[in-house]
Amino acid sequence: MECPVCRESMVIIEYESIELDYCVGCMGIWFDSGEVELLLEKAGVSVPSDALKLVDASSELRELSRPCPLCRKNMRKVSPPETGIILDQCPDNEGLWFDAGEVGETVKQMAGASSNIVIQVLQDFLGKAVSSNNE
Amino acid sequence: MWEIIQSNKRKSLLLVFLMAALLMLIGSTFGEYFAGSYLTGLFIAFIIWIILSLVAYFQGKNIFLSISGAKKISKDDHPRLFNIVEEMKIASALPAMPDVYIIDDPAPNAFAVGRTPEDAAVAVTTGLLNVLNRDELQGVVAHEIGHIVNRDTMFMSMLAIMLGTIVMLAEIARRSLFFGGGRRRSRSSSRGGGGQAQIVILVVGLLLMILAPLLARLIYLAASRKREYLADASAAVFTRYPEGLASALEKISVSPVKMRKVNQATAPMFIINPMQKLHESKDSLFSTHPASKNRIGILRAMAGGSSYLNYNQAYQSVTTDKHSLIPKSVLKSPPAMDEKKKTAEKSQPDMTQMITRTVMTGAIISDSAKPNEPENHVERVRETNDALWKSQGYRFIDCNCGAKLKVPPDYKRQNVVCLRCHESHSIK
Amino acid sequence: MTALTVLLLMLIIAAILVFWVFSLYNGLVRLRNAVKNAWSQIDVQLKRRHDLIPNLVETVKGFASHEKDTLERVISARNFAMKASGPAEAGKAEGALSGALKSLFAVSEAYPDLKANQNFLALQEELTSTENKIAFSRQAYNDSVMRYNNKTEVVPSNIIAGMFGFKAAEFFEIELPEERAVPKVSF
Repeated sequence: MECPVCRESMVIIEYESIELDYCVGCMGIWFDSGEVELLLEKAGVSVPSDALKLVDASSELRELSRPCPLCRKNMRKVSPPETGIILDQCPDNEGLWFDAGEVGETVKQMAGASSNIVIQVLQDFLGKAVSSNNE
Repeated sequence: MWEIIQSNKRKSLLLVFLMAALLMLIGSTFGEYFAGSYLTGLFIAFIIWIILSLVAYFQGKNIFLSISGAKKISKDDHPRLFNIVEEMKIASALPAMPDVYIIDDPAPNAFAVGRTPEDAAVAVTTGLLNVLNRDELQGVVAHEIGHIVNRDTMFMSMLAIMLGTIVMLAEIARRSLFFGGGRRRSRSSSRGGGGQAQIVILVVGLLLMILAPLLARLIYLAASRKREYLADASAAVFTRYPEGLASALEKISVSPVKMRKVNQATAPMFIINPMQKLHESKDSLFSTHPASKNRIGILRAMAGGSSYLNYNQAYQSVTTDKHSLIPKSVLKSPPAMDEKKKTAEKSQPDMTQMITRTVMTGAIISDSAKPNEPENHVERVRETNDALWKSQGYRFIDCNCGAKLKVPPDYKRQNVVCLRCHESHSIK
Repeated sequence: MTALTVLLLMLIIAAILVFWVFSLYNGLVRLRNAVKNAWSQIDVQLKRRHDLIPNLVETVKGFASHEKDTLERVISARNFAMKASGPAEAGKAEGALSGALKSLFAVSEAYPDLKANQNFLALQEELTSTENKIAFSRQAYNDSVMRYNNKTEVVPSNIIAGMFGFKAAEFFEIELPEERAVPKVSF
């Protein structure tokens, strides 16, 4: 798969049977929707919980629109509520794209609001990709 | 084993001759009708048949594999699948290890191809790898190896070629009838005189055009169904565990996922017809495969044994077919080891099979015995995908932090930085 | 004249007899070679199993170090099996090894980290498969022993077998005493 930002071939990382794609060039991360479900299952959450609720952010024009690495359609801008972080979501909901540091930022802000098991699993999975901002 | 191959060969020859006769009949009739000479028709039929046969003989295996989008894998790509094929190679005394292929398709299915047992291949879909446990996968692979050992792969492709030729001839005839061929017909029939003979040829020709492909297909399908039962019997003998295949067939036949790359010609090659409707319960004239319900029923009715004799008895009681599926000579002289087992069975029914089974899987706990199936399912899916990626040239790196990095073949950098621990790995 | 005919006849009969003995002898040699070949197939798999065990023990040690007894039993069973010669002795030793491995895998169920270890899973698959391959080649071997032994016992090939020292071959049975007592129902 191609990175939607720098068009490089992305590397797949598997940890504890969850897989993500990431770009070594820009360190952005692609969350396949199937993998998100797996992640939730692992955390013991059956349905997409509030922790992953996203609001439309198409009014924000800071970033250019990018093609979905799976279906090539332009992704739409979304945002976790009250964070100001802008993510890209596939219009057919095939997955979610985080720029470098955005996962860490999201996790940090949401962990502050409530200690969520999803966040814990994410933190464990992503290691330095989450905590690198603190170093 | 040898007797089955022999009897198969005799029946195959009969069917091949039948098919050839049909081919010659249709060729000469069309020749007489369109060109006024039956020899011309025979010649055209012969040429088409030779070309198709030559192509199939030299490239048949590869053509079929590439039509299905199959990719060859090695042992590192999917150790379990590779091991199972090797186990069945030993059990069936196949002279050479078949090539192993996987097909990226969510529908669970499998097939075998190859002209000779020395040059054969077994292909399974990723869907099959995802849903079956080890014992079930072993049953399916044994069934496919059974096709190779019984020479079905060679024979079915021979019949398929003749069927193809007949269908092609009928198609040519149909077209020439609509574009130009008809002129000759109207002129000759209006001329009176020898018109009566012309009309007879016309009627026979039209009938043949419609019936020959149908008839050829029926011959082909009848042969195909019988061979499925035989391969099931072989699978039970090889694995000595009919339940493995039975439970695999159950899982495959209820799967709602349809195969993507499949057509009328390739359908009979699969373990379960990828185009057949669900819940079909009778063996109909037009199906390539026996109804899954029957196949499962027979395997489950084998009552603790796993010889050809057991299968034949179960076959006769489940299908109420009075004919013996397997030649008498095979049933009379069961393999030496089965004789030995039977004496033991008298004192403890069913247990012998369990013991053989435990000896086979030995002390090792098979994955079907593990309680956490859903986790296993995710792991199986990962394993299958890994096999697919490896066959596509992905390089795998184990990072020290416990993560596994999978680098695509078109990756251009010299090194990969792990997302989790930021360790840099260089790529050779 | 008549003496010559008799001589000729006797010569012909002798020649036929010699050819017959030859063909019986050759048949026995072929069957004996088939037995040897089948045994070497088993031997390959047994060796493979012996080679895999040190790796397995090392891997398990890293996660379950205080299962010393079980681990030592596996190692000693392996060493014993490696020294065994001939099908009968090997069968007994391999049975003991299978039993020891069974208890090792049973013990490993209690260690989730071990069960999730890639290396351990790969070894487990290899050992399962090797065990299957042993079982399948054992079937082929025993079939060939049956054919060969029959030939050495029936008239007239038994005479040739006796003259040239063709001894009956041993069957290969893996003895798992505790298995026979308690058959497992779930697989």
